[in-house]
Amino acid sequence: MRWLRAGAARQEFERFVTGSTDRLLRTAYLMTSDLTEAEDLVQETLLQVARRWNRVLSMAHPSAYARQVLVNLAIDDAARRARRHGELGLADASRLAGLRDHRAERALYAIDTKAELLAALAGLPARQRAVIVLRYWEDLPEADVATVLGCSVGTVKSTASRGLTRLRQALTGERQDIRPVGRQQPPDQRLTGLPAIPALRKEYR
Amino acid sequence: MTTDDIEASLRDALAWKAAAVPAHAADRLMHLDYRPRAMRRPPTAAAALATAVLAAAGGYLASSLPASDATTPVSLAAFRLPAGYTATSAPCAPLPPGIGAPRAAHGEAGFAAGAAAHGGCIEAALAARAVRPPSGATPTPVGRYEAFMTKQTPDQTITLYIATPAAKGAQELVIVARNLSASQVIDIARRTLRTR
Repeated sequence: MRWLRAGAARQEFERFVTGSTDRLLRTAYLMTSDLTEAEDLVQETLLQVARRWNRVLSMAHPSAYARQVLVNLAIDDAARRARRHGELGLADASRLAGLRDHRAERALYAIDTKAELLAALAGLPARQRAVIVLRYWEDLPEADVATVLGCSVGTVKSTASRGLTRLRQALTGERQDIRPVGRQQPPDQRLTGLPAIPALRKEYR
Repeated sequence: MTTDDIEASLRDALAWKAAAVPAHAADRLMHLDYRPRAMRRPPTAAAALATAVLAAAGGYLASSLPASDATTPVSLAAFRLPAGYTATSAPCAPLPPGIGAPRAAHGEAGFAAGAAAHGGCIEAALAARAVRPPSGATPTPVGRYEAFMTKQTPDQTITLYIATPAAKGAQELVIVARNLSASQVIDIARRTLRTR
């Protein structure tokens, strides 16, 4: 009978993995901005869940527990990832310079802010990034984010606020970077020479 | 850019980036063998023989050895109240269903409670079976035991669930505390379990 129960538990675990891996991987990718790192993170998460499967199985929401493990692993591992990316950054300097020009061009015509937002998000401290991803990708209420991170709701609110402020500053800063240097006309007057794109006008006001 | 604007842009950008994860990336992860802990393998013939030999040898040794620590039942004899707390039979906070009801007086097997003048309180209870921690409980190691913790912010209540092996399955030590820090509660739990 015990073996039958064990077989059932294994099947439950396999169902859990099948049902939750895709979502976990996407969350991990948003947390790390690197698919290989995200895969490693999900693998470690599932190993930890497997080690505690006896208990996880009895939980009301095993996937919420797995997400909690994943987010906390991502935060704990952020320093190592940052060091690694720092080392890779030197080699990628020329590529990044090209990317910057491309980004500036897009910003000038205000076609899309996604890339800028995501680049700025990748530059946030790990905890701020976790709060942003849990709030705006997982759509978790602040209380649930607090549970995942083991902190108070007030801390979640202040962390999210700081994160949003930094994202806003990063976007604004990029737009200031692409302004022509020297004595120039005020932004609204400069805009008159550009194609009429409502979003661009709104952002410059 | 207003907060609403940036929140909307963020949702859009995150969904866009998440959609970029290729489907095959998850496939590889799904096909790994994670060896879930609940699994028990049927004994092979060699393993069964080894078990029989060990059992025969163990029968000789068992009479001269103390009972294994792993199966010694937890007791609350070593439960110590924090400084400034006095023993009471008053409940501290709601316990998980099926534990500590009806509550016994302080000092009796399976129950201990204390309260302090500044509104803090702590209560420990034993269940003769494993208890399901609520979803969202945080894994929290307590010494060599695997535990889970929940925190309720409004009333500063912490609940710690510690599963301990026992002769018949598992016992669960549950500690509920109010106005005590997580590290204080973990420390009390660790000292309670250390002297098993």
